[in-house]
Amino acid sequence: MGRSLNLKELTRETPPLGPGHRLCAGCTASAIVRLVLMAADRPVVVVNATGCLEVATTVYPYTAWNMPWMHNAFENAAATVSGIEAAYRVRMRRGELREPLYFVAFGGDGGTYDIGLQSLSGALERGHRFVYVCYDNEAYMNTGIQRSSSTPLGSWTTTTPVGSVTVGKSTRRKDLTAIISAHRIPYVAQCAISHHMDLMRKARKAFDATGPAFLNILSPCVPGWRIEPSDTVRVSQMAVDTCFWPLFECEEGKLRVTVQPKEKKPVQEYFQIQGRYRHLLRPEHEALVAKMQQEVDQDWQRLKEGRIL
Amino acid sequence: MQQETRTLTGNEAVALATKQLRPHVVAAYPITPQTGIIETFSEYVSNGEVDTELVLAESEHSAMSICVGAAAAGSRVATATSSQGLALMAEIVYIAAGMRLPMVMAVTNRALSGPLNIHCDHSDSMMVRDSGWIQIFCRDAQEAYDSILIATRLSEKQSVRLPAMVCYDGFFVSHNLTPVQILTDESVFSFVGPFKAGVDLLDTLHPATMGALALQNYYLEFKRAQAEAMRQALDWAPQIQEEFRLVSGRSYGMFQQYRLEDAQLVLIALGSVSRTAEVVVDRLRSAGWKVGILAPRFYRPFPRAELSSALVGKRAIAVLDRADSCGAFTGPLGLEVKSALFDHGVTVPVWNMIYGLGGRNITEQDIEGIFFQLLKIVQTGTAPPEDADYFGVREGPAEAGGSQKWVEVSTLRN
Amino acid sequence: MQTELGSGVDFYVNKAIGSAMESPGVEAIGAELVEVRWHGRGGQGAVTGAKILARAATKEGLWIQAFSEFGPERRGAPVLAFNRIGANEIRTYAPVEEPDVVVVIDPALLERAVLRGLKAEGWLVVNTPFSPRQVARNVSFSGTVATLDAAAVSREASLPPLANIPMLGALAAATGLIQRSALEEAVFETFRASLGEETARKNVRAVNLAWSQVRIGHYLDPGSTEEENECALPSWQELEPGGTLYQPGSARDYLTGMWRSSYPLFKREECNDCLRCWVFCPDTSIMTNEGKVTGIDLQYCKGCGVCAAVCPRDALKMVPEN
Ligand code: SF4
Ligand code: SF4
Repeated sequence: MGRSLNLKELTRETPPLGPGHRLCAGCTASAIVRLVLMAADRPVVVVNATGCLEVATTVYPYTAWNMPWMHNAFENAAATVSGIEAAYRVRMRRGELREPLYFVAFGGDGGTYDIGLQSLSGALERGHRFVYVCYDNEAYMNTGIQRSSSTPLGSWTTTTPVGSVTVGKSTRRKDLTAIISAHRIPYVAQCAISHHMDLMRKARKAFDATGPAFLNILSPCVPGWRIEPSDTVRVSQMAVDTCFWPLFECEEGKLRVTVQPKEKKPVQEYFQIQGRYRHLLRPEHEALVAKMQQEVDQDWQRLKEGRIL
Repeated sequence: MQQETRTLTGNEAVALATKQLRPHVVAAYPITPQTGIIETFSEYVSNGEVDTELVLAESEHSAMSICVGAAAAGSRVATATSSQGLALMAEIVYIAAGMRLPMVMAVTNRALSGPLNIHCDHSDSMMVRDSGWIQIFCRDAQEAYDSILIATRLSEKQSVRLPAMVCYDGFFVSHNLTPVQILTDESVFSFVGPFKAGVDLLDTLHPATMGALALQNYYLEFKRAQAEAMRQALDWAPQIQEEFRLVSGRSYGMFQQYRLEDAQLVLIALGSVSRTAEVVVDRLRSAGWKVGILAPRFYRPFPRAELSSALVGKRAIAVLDRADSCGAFTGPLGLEVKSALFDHGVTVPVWNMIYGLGGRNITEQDIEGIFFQLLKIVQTGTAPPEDADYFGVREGPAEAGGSQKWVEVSTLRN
Repeated sequence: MQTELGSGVDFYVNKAIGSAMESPGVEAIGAELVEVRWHGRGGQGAVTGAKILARAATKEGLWIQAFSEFGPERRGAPVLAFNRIGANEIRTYAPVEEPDVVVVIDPALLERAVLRGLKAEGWLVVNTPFSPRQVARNVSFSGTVATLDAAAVSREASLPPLANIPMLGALAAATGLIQRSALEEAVFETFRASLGEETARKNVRAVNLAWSQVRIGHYLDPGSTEEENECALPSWQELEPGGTLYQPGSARDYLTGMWRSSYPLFKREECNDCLRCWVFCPDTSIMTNEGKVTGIDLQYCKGCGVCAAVCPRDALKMVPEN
């Protein structure tokens, strides 16, 4: 179906998101955007929730986007894309438009897990045909690294500091992918930037879906995760290798793990390459790390058995 | 001028007008007392009477966000809300105006919480009066119907491109069944015309970026341009309303006036109360009083100059506000009128009253009383209080031992 | 006073430290209100520098402001921080347009643009191994220039190469705005709270080293600076309603290459055209032709090093700028 996902051929095309944007050096959000959009075989209209990606790519009078793009507010990307998609449907019906289009909304974890969850849930339930992409960097990075409901247990952020009484975030992250799949939409998947072909194949399936589709993509963040700019892809790879961020898809309700690590690594290996977890390596936090390992193992087991919850 | 008289509630009249616009997208969330609009419109869609994408959002915030998306995607958009719904969408109300997206929204005016109250006042519309939306206040269902059509034309005017609110009183108008003159579908559509998009996000040959970040070096210019658009609305409204008169026979100004010309005592008010006041004016006129009414129709843009010159030579004015501007000690309409008069050098005593909040009744007798007060101000030469009065509010400590006022009628009989 | 670096040119004067030290405080540079603008990049501590300066000034009983300019830029992008220091209450909250002092904590940012608004008789304090005179000539500035090799100071103080604290020392030593003791106290307290006593002590040492190593100079006969070309922005009448932009990809006019401090060196002969670098480069700076990598677009490359990290061969290697 459609054009191939051959990288060599894709290099000939205008990139959906061009250079001159002001994302951090090493930021993974822009590559995520390009990979998702390159998987589409029709023109795409993009909606962007407020966040790093939006702010850094469209500083008036500049835009880094090479396709129709709109930002409305923080919590309403899904509602905004609903409106655009509704307009598209009626204009097609009335013969005012001919060209088949795809619709994508990008939001960070702040705009998706938290402030925009209601709007997203509404749009999914209404059945608009669009792909929602959460580039999940596990905290509010646009305002300077504050915890979100995607921030993992134990992780440092500026609002979950490592102090003498509390140590990083004290609660588990929300399982958004599962929540979304409970909407019984045709396609839901978890992706990681390090696994770019897996990501593009999933994006293609999301575009082809007969209704709303959702991609949750891990997006390592240089300042927020306290990692080196050059390390973003390696950290993403480690998230998958430890099963801390498992890659799977849920197609018409059928769950399938798409990337099976050759050798499942202990979570410590993921923690030790990121400053936000460094404190967890201290002996006094052994129990916490063991607990986290246990949670990862249980989740992984469940996924392998084909259950999302 | 083929027209049909139907008996409709304000909400039904608005739903009908909305249908006649042939909007591409209507997105809404039900709220008392607006719900009737959405129910009626849903029936139109359900019966195939209009080819509109009706998006039943999960909140008003999303409803307005959907409207913004749809308007950006080259479509004619309509919605409706009230009170808390408008409060919830307020963030996006500003964005719709800032992005210069035409659309029309009916606001059935209702009090804002808290405490919770479902009845009429104008606090909801007033809360977003600075948002950059055109605001038209209607006195009855006929005006609400007509104003949906006029607002759409004005909103879509290329030099304006601002969203517009059509405000009318919750329950008093929204739920009141009255005769309404209805234009044919054809004459409505030839009046509003097919939608011409100022921007079209779906034009992939000319990819637009909408909603970019404008910092210190640009934001101010965008706001200045928005102010100019409002001025354009002020300039174009009379012409569009004149065109509407030619289609409908009904004529509208920036404000409506009733026996104002030679009036010495003037009452200024928004909404249905200004119709009630007409009855009082007639009564007082037949007793020889020179009284009249000015009912601003456009609150945004506010016709400052025209209003001021209509008030030259008046002896005393009462401005009735169905909303408060807490801490200004004057209601929003009072502030507007006083500032316009001051700027145009019109000196006349202005008495401001906050009335009818949360749907509190105001009767013909009450209005008569207000004219009496105005007369007193003129006769005694005393200035009206600087701060607004709260009309009809219970004052002072509750009366002790109310039972002593109780009269057993039976004991008086014999 | 000494003459310039043995060059024999006597129109440039290298001042002894603390011409201002005799009368520390705001009067030191002869003004009631002193405005300072810091130029750094996200993550280099310009904002922290401004805050510590404010704390130190408070200790001297001065009125202060410390604030920064928030843009959409992310880590690595240029940032501005500001101070106002005065003997009396400062009531203006307007942005600093004409600073008395400009501090440049990232040497790569030194270009004429940093002089914007800087008073002709003001101070330019720069992190650079070059001499004040070289800097003055480089950016054609007629006021006083102070330079410090902050990296050398950090090394000597066994600190990571963060320039803000050494530059704080240089700023205070050169201008005499703040006494050394007040600054030391403020530095110590700040770092003890966040990073412990040992780090705090090292930072105090950095202040001391900076104090003694800063070099200061100015022209004997102040020349005139060149007029800057302010490029005119459009008026409100000229803007597209609602801010819609119709030039897709126009951000290519905004060159992010200046954020870079190292760049990827590409060896064509090692490359197997797997395109991993092209996939992951956040700034679409891997140039290709017919599916083959041809080089790096240094106009935009931010020097993140992702390409070199993901390259399975030895085709990409990060090397420092210059
Ligand atoms: S260092 Fe490499 S990956 Fe990073 S911006 Fe430059 S070319 Fe792209
Ligand atoms: S990653 Fe290395 S080998 Fe692969 S295309 Fe880039 S430079 Fe060539």
